[in-house]
Amino acid sequence: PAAAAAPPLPSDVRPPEILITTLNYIVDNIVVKLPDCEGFLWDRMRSIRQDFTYQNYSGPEAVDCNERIVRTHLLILHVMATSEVEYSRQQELEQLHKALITLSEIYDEVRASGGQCPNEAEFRAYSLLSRIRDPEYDKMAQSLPKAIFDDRLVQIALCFRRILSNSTFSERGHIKTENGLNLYRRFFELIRSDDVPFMMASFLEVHLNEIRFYALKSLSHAINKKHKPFAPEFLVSELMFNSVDELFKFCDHYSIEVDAEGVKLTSFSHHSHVISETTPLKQSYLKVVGEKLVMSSPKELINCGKHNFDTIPLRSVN
Amino acid sequence: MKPAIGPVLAQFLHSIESGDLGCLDINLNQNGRLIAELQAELQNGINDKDIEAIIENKKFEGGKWTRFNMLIANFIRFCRDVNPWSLWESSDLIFNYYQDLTNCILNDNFPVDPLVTNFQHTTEYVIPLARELDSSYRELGTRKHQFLTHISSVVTKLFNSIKPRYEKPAAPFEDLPRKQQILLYTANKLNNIYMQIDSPASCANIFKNVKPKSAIESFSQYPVREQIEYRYLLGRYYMLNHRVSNAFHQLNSAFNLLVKFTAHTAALDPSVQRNKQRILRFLLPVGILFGKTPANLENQLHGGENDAIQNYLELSHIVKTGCLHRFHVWMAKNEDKLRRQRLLLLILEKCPLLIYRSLIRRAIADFCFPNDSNKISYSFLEIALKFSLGLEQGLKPIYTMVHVPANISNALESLVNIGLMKANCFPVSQQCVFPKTNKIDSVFPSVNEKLVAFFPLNSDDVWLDD
Amino acid sequence: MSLEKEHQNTLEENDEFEDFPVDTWPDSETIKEDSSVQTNLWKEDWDDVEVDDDFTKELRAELQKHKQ
Repeated sequence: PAAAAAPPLPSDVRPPEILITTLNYIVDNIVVKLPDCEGFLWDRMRSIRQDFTYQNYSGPEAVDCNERIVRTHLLILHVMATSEVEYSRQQELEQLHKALITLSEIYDEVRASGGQCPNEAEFRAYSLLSRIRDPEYDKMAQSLPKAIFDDRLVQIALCFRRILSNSTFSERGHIKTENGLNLYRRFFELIRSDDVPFMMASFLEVHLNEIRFYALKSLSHAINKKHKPFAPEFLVSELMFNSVDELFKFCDHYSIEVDAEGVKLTSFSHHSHVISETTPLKQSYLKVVGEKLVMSSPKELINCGKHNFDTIPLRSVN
Repeated sequence: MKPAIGPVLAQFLHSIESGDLGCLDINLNQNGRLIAELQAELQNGINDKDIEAIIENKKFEGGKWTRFNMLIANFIRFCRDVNPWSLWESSDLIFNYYQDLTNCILNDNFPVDPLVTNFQHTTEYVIPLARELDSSYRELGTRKHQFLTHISSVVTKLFNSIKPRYEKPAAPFEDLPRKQQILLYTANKLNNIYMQIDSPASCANIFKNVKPKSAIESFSQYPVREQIEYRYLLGRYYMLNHRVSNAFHQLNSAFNLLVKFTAHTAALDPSVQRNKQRILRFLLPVGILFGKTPANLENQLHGGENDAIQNYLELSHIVKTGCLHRFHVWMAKNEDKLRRQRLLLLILEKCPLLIYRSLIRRAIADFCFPNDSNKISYSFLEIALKFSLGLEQGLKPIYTMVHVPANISNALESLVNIGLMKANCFPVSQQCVFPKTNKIDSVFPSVNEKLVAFFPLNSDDVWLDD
Repeated sequence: MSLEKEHQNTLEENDEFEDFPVDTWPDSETIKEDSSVQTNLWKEDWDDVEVDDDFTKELRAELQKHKQ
């Protein structure tokens, strides 16, 4: 409903147990129909989250649903990037961010009352990837309890933040900061490694186009002005494009000249990966991420967390 | 029927009438005697209605300043009801009074100037109380930082009510209205609270608004303590946002001002020493990230936090040698403390580029310059990097996953991109070519000059230095 | 953790400025005279100072083996 609409009647808001059952049904029966059911999933997951918000409920059922909704969004991001079906990536990301913020708030609240949610580290790691260049999230990471900070997934997320700490990144509202390294080769090397699970890799794929853009920018600013054109195969392998064709489309979008000799990086002139008044390039995907996905079913991936009941001493006595 | 007024109350009301507002002080340590005497007298059954009637009769300021009447009434009520043995029981009274006092000075159409001093005294009194109450929020069943948050909302109202004086020219500090004089004071109080309640993002709005609100001729006319603290807070704010050159500039200025204004008599005062340590705690790491080498530290401190200083001298040395392994061991050793100071991830992100630079510089100076060669192969540098990384045993992923020998190509590109190395990269033939020269500085220009050029200081802060 | 230790930690971590005295006669002339010594916290040119320690020696030896 629109922001101005009246809140729903209490009788229309589903109680926590029902919301769990609803999500179970979605995960068991609808997710397999991706990519076609993306719009339906988006809508139903949003309404589950809204029903929790309406009743101001943040108990274990809310944690469980929000966690599984985050995983479902992460799955959707990769699946949609590989498909031709139309969808709004921006709306997917928006709901994903909102679910992550809700979770962070609940985790803090639970901690303040002396408990800890069992899957916190995994979702803190996703949070760290969700605003990958925002120093506010580094501050958050450093205030986490040691056990969470030391968790492998959180540590990996922190590594990716350093790997993308590119000082020439340029976007409206972003302030460039000093001494950033642009370790794009390391990015591709790590994302294919077994250290990075599918869900994280899918989230990182969101940045693929901009990583390639700033890699080419970095290269073009480091080479001699008379440098000869690059063989397409070299760039395909350096930046893990799926094909030479994909590289050419990318070059076309950013007006990088390509001729029989190869890709003329010396013709690179854009400062930001965002070109105003131009439809952005469709998000790319990596085959290596798809390979991580085939190892388990979507349902297993989404339901993989530890059980959220009884571990939370929430509102025991009030 | 007029309620009876006892002699203490009569005397108190008389003082207010004659403009002596010093007695409006809820600090029991300073005004305990008056408060106790009023309490003894008022507890003989004077109720809120009586109090209001008495004040109504007095017609302070012609009886038109309702908020002032409310303030006096609230003060009398505070004196009647305060429990000197229980901060918790009295907290409502205290914070209500503080809120009324602040409300009273929001509207500049009334003679608010004399009350500004009361506001400052009361602020100094209530902040530590709020902190104390917040420290036992679990026992009290309040929210985390509830009291400090409340105070910040009260002080924000005052801050917002300080209006720029467009129609008048800028004036020296002495000639400003009292509220204008406490502009920096309130900004510092708010920023301190925001830092403390872990909400430094809120500082942005304060820093942005000080200049537009200010009616002073020059920033340097504000009380020097407030200037120093303002720069200290601004520097820390920049640091939390990873803005190294801006953080360095403000923290370094704060430190220099502190040294300058305490050079003669105050230098040995323990509070000055502690404040120096506070600045150095952030200035040293940020200076290193900015390409500076600390010196003369012995002269700056007399005892105290020498360990921390030695530690940063060690880091500075590590950065210059180009040894990533020692860097990671140093980070791991200091991790807990750096994490609490919110410095760990900043240093982890901003140091390696400088370490790569030192390492590559070393290799070029030792192996290219002697042979008059102006190129170096990636594979040779990868050997250097591998050696610099050493063994990773026992270190956490944040110290082992990012840096690997194959990073050389990207590190060279990053260095060239922001001007920290003059060279051309040849990624296909895996070579790096630099200008023919016998001066290493021509290949590796001064770090902080390049950083200042590439990451300019925020122009909003220029007025601090004018 | 003992109470005393806890107290020490809070002091160490208290980043908030405390009230402090300033000189009552900050005569700008006298300050200028000795300010150079007092306030210069940084070396003028950090690269002028070449470091030479175990690591740099070992690095040199290692690279010597692989000389291009």
